[in-house]
Amino acid sequence: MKEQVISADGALTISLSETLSFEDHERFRDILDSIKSTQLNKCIFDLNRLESIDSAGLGMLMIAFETAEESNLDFSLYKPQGQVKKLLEISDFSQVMRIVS
Amino acid sequence: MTIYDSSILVVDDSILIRELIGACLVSAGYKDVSYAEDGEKALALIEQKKPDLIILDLEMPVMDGFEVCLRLREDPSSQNIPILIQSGRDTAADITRAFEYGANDMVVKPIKKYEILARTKVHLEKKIFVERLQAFHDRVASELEQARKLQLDICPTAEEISEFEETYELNIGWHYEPSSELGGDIGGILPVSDKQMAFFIADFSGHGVAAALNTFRMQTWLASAQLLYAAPNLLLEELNNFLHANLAAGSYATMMFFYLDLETNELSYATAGCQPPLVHVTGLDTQFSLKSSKGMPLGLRADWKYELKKLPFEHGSKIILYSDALVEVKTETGEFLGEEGLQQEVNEIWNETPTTQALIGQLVNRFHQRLKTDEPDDLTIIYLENRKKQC
Repeated sequence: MKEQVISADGALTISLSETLSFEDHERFRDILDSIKSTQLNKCIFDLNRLESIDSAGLGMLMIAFETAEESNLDFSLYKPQGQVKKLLEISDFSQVMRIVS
Repeated sequence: MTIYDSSILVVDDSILIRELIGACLVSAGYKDVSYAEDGEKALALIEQKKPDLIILDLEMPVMDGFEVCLRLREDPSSQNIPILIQSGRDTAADITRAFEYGANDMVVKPIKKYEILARTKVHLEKKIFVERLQAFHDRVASELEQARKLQLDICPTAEEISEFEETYELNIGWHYEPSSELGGDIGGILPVSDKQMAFFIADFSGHGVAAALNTFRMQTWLASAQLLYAAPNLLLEELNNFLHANLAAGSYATMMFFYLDLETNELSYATAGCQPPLVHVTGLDTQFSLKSSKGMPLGLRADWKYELKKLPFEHGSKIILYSDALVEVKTETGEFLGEEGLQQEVNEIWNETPTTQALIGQLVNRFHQRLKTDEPDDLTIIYLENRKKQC
């Protein structure tokens, strides 16, 4: 996983690329910390360049959503593609969080 | 055991050198030091008892140190004993030859007490650490192997499958192979009565021991939830709350749970994000087609509602359930097989040889031919066909 966290235009934008998998769980904690500490009220996960995700990665996105939910942040997943999009669909994540296609 | 309990064999033809090295070792606290005056005598002693370290001279009568190194390294029982050479021969050629023949380290005469003690300590500590690691590795490997066997034990046996086939007039195919690591797949058949039965497939997120232990957790929970078998959606709702309360945050299970009523020939089921099943319903389908398996994986959100779905399942109707490993392999074209690819292959195989054994056999063969990934995963394939003739 490669990540880029930017606070701009009123939103905390976390852009992920390559693969989100179990190996990333330590680094994902830093992302969660940035969600907890942001003063902004919007959190966007830009998944446009994320190529694949495994089961642990899907769990991490749910934890990120719940972390944002606790801080009353407006949360969305932006443009998931391919396998990532498919897994989010099959797991009904759009019933819980906004997914912008 | 500390390094000072280690046994050390000192080999030198000079009694003076043997005693000097021995005195250094004993004064440092080493309790088990033995001596040999040439290579042959050293090998005889090593044959009787393997030392933890050999401090070896190169130039000796009868058999020199090079030959001793060679012989020890040829024998599997002595090839890992550390050899510390102490020699007056310090040309590049001698040093190179000693290491080529299997020595681990070298000190040059004259013997310097603190040098030989420091080298001795390093090699003995390393040996003890490696042995401890090896013992730990062996114990973990053996425990994982036992856990793999336990996972195999919770699958239905061939005898049980035959009984289910007879009782319910079904054709059943079952293939389960746990990955080299432990995995989180589980599937099962749960008899309800002579005319009703339930079956399911599930996969816990992640791999390894935690995922495997969760499969046992699920099996235990299901055994105590018989009253819910006839209502798969309610079963998933209860199980979801149980797992949400008990799993670590972000962990979950995907699952499909089916209830088959052979009096009404109706299959009711609920889905929580598993791989879409392949279904061939008599009278509706001309071939296997994918059905939606959409649903929130179990354990992620409390109080989630699951939809109850129904399908007619008359004589000749068939269903195939499978774990994600089956479709996450790359085909000859370099693309992932995917569910659509699997659907196509299943229909091709079925059109050619419409038997349970041929279908599962071919799917497993193709899977193994394509499996090049370094990420092992469990493989589960379950096939069920209603062969009950209409009354």
